[in-house]
Amino acid sequence: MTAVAFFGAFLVLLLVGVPIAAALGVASLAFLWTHPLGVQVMAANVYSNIAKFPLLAIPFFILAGYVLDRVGVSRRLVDLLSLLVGPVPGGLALVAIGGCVLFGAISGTGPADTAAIGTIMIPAMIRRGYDPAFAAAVVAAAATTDVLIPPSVAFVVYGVITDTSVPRLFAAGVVPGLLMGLALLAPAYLISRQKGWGGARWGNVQEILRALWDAKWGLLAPVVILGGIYSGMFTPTEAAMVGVAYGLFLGLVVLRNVTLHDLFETFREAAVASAVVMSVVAFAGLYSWTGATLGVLDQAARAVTRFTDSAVVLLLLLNVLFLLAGMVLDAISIFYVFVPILLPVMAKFGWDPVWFGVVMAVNLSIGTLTPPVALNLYVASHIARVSVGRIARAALPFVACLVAVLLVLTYWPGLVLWFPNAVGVR
Amino acid sequence: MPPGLIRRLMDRAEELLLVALFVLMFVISFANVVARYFLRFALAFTEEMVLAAFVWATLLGTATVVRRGAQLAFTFLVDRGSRPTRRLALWLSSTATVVVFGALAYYGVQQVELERRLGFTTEALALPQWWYTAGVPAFAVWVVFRVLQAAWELDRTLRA
Repeated sequence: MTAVAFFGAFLVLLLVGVPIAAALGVASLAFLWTHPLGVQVMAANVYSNIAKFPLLAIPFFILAGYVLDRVGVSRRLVDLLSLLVGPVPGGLALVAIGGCVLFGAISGTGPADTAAIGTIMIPAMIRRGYDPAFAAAVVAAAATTDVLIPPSVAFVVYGVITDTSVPRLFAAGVVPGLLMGLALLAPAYLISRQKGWGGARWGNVQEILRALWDAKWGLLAPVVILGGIYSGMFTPTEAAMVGVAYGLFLGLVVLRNVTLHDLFETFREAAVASAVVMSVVAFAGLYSWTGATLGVLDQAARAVTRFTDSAVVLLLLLNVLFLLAGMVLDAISIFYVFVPILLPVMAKFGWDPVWFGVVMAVNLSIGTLTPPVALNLYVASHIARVSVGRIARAALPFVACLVAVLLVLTYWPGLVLWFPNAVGVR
Repeated sequence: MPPGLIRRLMDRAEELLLVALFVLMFVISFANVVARYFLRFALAFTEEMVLAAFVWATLLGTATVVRRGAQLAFTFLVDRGSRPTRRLALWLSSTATVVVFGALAYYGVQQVELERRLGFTTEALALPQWWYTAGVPAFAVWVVFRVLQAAWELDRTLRA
């Protein structure tokens, strides 16, 4: 009964439009005030939910992505891809997908990737005669790969909640992220061919070499960020700082294309984007702690385990549940609400937490395309000046392809774990 | 001073402090990395300062997010309601946010008093713990102010 009230309170507040962080906070307070759980530690709890060294990777990865975008790294990557892909059907859409995947190796969140590549590619596609809704949908869908391709803010949060190695999660996201990117190429190509939407021209060898030279700083960024992590030199948090420093060095010393005023704006916007994520982390942590202290998380876990003995059925149901939850919630709060419940379930079925984290991340990245709460669509809609509803419809073929990838990864854990095992990251 | 000017000064001060906290977080942590790898000299004691700045920046940043109306929320149903319904929903979510940050400020003050009374000091730098904690109630009060301000303004457009 308490469990129903605990989850119900949050759901009701959410549905009547209370901001997610506040809904989590009020639902927690309702139980902290009526049960002897120790409400006086609220402020200390909120403080410690934020003040975790691994979580510091979140503002720094966000900042690194913003700074590197500002110094023009995303444009140079897109220019290079454009000369390589050429005038094939859907050429610009394919460039947008490739650009999102490449920039995903620099940035840590889907909406940031949508903004970085979208501001360049969505207007370019519209000028070329692409349907604006389709152009926005391609970029929003391709930016979901950013959640999987390291660095990834979602994996930092999952790693902190489950006490799983973030470098191993990062490595496990590589193959799924690339598969998602590949899966998106087919509908982009087929739809564009049918509608007669094309690309730019092929570059000659000289042009491609020059574009490659121009893009070198962008192509080197993942090497600097991820190389530092996998050589064992840096923790993910330190690698994120190095990424920021690399971007600042490019902008202020090498390319000299940012002013102090630009940097002020970039820092401000990164700070605001970080606060959006971290305020949810702060109160989702409080909610999760309240639920654990009340004992309702254990009850929910027992209910899930009792529900079925079949791992195959349970995984399918969980995927459906996450897809539904992804329509009304953001990824961070879903991690905080569901993962503590599912940890005992994972133990019972012998599921690898790294693989499970990847499956959840793929699922929740699809959630950024499914309205009403669909962060990538919001950003794309803002750039393309098309309604979220129209983009959501245009995104349906892409969502279908991503769900297919999700099912493959769900029932073939080896595909996810192969890469981290091969490179020997623990 | 005209109200418009006060408003601009407040917004500007909020931005400046937010950026300053973010720059501080980055500069200290990066100096830390450099010191550890290149000078073989650990500045690990700075970590608690960076984390305190992170907490402050999160709360202050939340005030900016509130001012811009950019909190993550499920507004699908509410947006389809009539004007009076939307007004009701606006005041409901504003009240909820005020309750949460008001409680955070209240228990934050209690926490600060507790830490002062018991003389808690921080692990690495042995500074009074309440110096860091004090930011929680201070910025929580600021968020409450921004919530009321934003609600008041939106309410005016919904009434008109």
